Amino acid sequence: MLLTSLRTDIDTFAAGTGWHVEPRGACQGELCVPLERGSLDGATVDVARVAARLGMALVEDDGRWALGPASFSGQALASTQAPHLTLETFAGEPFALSSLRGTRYVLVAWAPY
Amino acid sequence: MCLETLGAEEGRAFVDAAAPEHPTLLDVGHQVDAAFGVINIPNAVWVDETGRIVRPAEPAWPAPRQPAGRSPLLDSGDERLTAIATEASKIVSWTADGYGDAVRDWARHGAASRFVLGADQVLARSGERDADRSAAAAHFELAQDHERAGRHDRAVPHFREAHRLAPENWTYKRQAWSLSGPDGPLKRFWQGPQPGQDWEYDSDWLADIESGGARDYYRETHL
Repeated sequence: MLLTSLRTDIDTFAAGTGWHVEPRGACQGELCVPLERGSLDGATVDVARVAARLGMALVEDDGRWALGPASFSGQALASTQAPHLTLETFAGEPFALSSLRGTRYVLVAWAPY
Repeated sequence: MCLETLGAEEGRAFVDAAAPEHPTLLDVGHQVDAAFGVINIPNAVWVDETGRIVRPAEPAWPAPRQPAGRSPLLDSGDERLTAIATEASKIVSWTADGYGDAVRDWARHGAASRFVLGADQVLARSGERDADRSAAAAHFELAQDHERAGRHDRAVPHFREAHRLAPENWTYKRQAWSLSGPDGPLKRFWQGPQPGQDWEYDSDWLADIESGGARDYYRETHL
């Protein structure tokens, strides 16, 4: 996710990373990773601290930052819980993958390149 | 799900031709790369009715990938396209045989399907991700943002860094190369410099596949 500040609210952080920062830790499904004290101040996430704990790269670019995905587990997936992505259809309508809950689905990634 | 930095127009012709009955989504940020571990296309992920991943990102085709007959690229008369088609024919498509049958088996039998993987297998097969791969994703996101804003010159260094940090990620490379190659119908195949062109990258599709070997183009996967 792209950030203009290293402090952001928990909902924005969750939407951008799939990780919910709570008092008990950074959580994805039933998996929770304990965080350093001070990582959460009310509803505000200290991005640098959480990123360091989860192995998320922070790359600065002209006054903003790109936050990479979690790497602490050494694998692309740290949990089998499907990430909650919301993308657009080709008609421009928002589509949440979570709307498919209750259905088995195959997500096929393709590209025109 | 169409992965394309520049948006829907690049992929619309494919969607119109396929006229799918299922939802067709656009992923301009390559979010499935970071979220699911997709590093090449085509790839598929199976998610069950409870929201659990039961097969992680893996090469996937609805039918055997190499049908009988010659690639029309072999008869193009162009040296690069002929070489690309020759190398492409050597690519090992690990799950091409029987993938569609496996999907149908899962649709019928659900969790009892023999193709459903346990949680440990799903995580282990999802692919390596270390600090470099995380940084590669961050650079790739910056590159895409610059590209969409028309700042191609600022995008290229971030694409190059993503390629250096995650050399096994073909979507990072193929997306970037397609933005620097020729326009027109050959764009998706060319994936490299035109004769005499100053190329912005250290490699291209043909150079990479010739040096790395077609066997490793797709991560080894078994049903």
